[in-house]
Amino acid sequence: MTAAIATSEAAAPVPEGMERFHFDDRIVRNFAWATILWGVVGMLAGLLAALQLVSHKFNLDLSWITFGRLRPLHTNSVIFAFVGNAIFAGVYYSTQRLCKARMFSDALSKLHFWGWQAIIVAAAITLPMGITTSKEYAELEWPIDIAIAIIWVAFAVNFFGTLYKRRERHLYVALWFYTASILAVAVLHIVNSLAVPVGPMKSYSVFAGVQDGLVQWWYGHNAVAFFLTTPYLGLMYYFMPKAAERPVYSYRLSIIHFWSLVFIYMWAGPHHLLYTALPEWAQTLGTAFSIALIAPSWGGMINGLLTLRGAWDKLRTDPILKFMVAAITFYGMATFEGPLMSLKSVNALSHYTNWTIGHVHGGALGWNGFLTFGMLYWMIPRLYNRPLYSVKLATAHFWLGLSGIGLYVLSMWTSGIAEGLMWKEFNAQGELVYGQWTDMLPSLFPMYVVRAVGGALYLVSVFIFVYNLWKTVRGAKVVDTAAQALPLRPLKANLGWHTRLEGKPLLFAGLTTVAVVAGGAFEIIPALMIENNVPTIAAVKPYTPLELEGRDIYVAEGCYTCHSQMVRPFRAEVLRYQGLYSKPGEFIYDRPFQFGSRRIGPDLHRIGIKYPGLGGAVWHYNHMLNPRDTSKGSIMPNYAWLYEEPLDLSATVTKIRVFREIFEAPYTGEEVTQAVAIAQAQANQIADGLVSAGLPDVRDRKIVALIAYLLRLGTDIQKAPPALSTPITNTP
Amino acid sequence: MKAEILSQTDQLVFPLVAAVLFVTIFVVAVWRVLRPGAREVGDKRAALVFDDGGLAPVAAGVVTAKEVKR
Repeated sequence: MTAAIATSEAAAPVPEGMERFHFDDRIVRNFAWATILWGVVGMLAGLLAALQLVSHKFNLDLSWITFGRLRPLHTNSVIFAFVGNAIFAGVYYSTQRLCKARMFSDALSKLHFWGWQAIIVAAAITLPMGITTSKEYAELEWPIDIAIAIIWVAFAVNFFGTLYKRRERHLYVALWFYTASILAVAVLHIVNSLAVPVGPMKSYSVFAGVQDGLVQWWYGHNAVAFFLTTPYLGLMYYFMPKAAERPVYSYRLSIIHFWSLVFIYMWAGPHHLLYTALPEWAQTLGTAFSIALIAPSWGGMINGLLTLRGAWDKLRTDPILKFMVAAITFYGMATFEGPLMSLKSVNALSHYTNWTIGHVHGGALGWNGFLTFGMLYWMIPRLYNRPLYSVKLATAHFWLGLSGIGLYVLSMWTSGIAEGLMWKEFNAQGELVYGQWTDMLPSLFPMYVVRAVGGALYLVSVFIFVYNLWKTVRGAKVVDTAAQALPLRPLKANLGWHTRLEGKPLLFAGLTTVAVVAGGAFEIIPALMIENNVPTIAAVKPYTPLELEGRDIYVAEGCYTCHSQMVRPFRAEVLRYQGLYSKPGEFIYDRPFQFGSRRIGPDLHRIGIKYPGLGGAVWHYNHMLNPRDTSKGSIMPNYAWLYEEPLDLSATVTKIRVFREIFEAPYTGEEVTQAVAIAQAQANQIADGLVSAGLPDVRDRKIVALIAYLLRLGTDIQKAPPALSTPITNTP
Repeated sequence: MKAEILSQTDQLVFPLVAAVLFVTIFVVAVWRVLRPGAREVGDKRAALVFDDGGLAPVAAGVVTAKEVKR
């Protein structure tokens, strides 16, 4: 395939007053193919992760694809690589046409494309290496974060530059959604990525504990809002009318939809932290705005679906409309389910369970995936000036993909509710029926198998999609589409204020920014600034140098992907987790926080109390080497490499210094300068104990640091932590 | 200093200010779309999606000297 713009002496004359130009379709094609490539990669990673939960053997005992490292790779690749590239493809295609202008700068378009792909490759290399911040959907370390900011700014300049040089006065509603997305993502990314580097690929969040959790889920929720939702709503408002060949049902409704959505979305983040140590007022605020979100979300859904008014019969024969209608329906379902799950009573059951996974995948596979497929099925034949190779294959893609989503979501809903109920089930004596975590796994196993089958079906459907598009474009010669339009006319004086506003992108962007950041500002600033939100606990001390290194290993291995560190104030949880729920003051030295979002395994906040002293050290040693030796039926991977890889203390002094001098942790000057010696002394103490129990000497291996951290976890709340000489009491 | 100022502030002011902001934006948006003549304007705007100035593929390959690359 070659890109070319044919010229001819016999050119048709340009009508009087019109300007002729070409859309940059090459950049659209590039992003479209990148979408497909990374979509396959991300979904393959997802399928492997699903299989790893069916059997731990799928981890293959390879550190770089073990579940804790693979899961962030999966989420990052499907969100930022698959969906990200799809957004850019759709935005570049529609913005040029809505503005009747070529993109502002071809150089910026290329920088955006290649820069974004480089970032994806960097993520694909660093995440399997265990280089991660552990902040969900923001796992990439600081150099890559800076690159993301630069490339995002290049995209923003290119987008707003195109608005500036447009030939169409009015900004169509899709452009509003793009504007909000670009601005909001910039704010979210910069704030949540604020960190202090302690090495070329290691940093600590400037926020700690509960505040870090609040900022992270303000980001995490709004990454869903402004990366997975608002840009796609813009794409819906452009491509749905195109595919249906009729204008959007109500342009007026789209105005209310836009302003309500961008204003409300930003406030709902704390619903990810209900019943946690987050201040009560912030939790209530998050719930209230989550419920309010139903209105604009369903307004948008209705607007999208009713665009098909009078043309529903097309659904029978047109696979593009099938994809789009199903996508919008999934959007409606997800935006009802989300507020439902943010009700505290529902959240008490659903949080940390597979229900959340089902909810997320209904949105990701249904809304984002299907709208992407519909958009690409519509766009690619036009970009290559070739009819779609096979409508039958596209229809097969749809039904197979839909079946896959059905199996996936239903199995996760079922297992989520099942495990939520099992966590809380008491017998007549008031004891937990499922006191051992592994007692619950057999009930979940069939659902994990069904989930993997659903994922596999979806992936097979994507291969059909790739084949169909490849056959469509094979041999085609591509041409940048020419267009002609009148130059931009000045605003008429007698227009309404909003109509004038819609013709002034800079002012419009400014007001959008106010609407978008209002929620963040009013929610986060008080939480960060008001000290009484996080009462300190005198017994809580900073981690020792070895424990801090162990915590970094915990982060690198992605333990948070399966284990929370947040015992909620429920009777069942307090009983299961050593009688103490988590308090905000316990996390003030946690950078980043490790609350987690899913309990594939049990909560670990009180693991130091459950398995204390030498007995605990021995238990952790055996457990990490082969979890089935201590917990029969466990699906946790083996971590054999932690017993082989040397413990690296080369950055320990820097880390402790940063904690003391920048984060004001109460380390003494001597503890900073002697950090390595202190770490080695503690490692020797633990290793000597293990040797005395007949285990190999691991004083210079990573596992010793991880054991030190796990022994410490959640123990500060007790005034006198047990000594290492405590006898073994919790053997399997 | 910020911490001190905020610590002395009644926290209720934040959700109240937010509520006022939201209600204002919502009411203005509703007024804007329900005012007389808004439907006609909206219908006109909604049709923009079909008017992108693109030429048919055959003509797309034709470029004249007057072409501008804006």
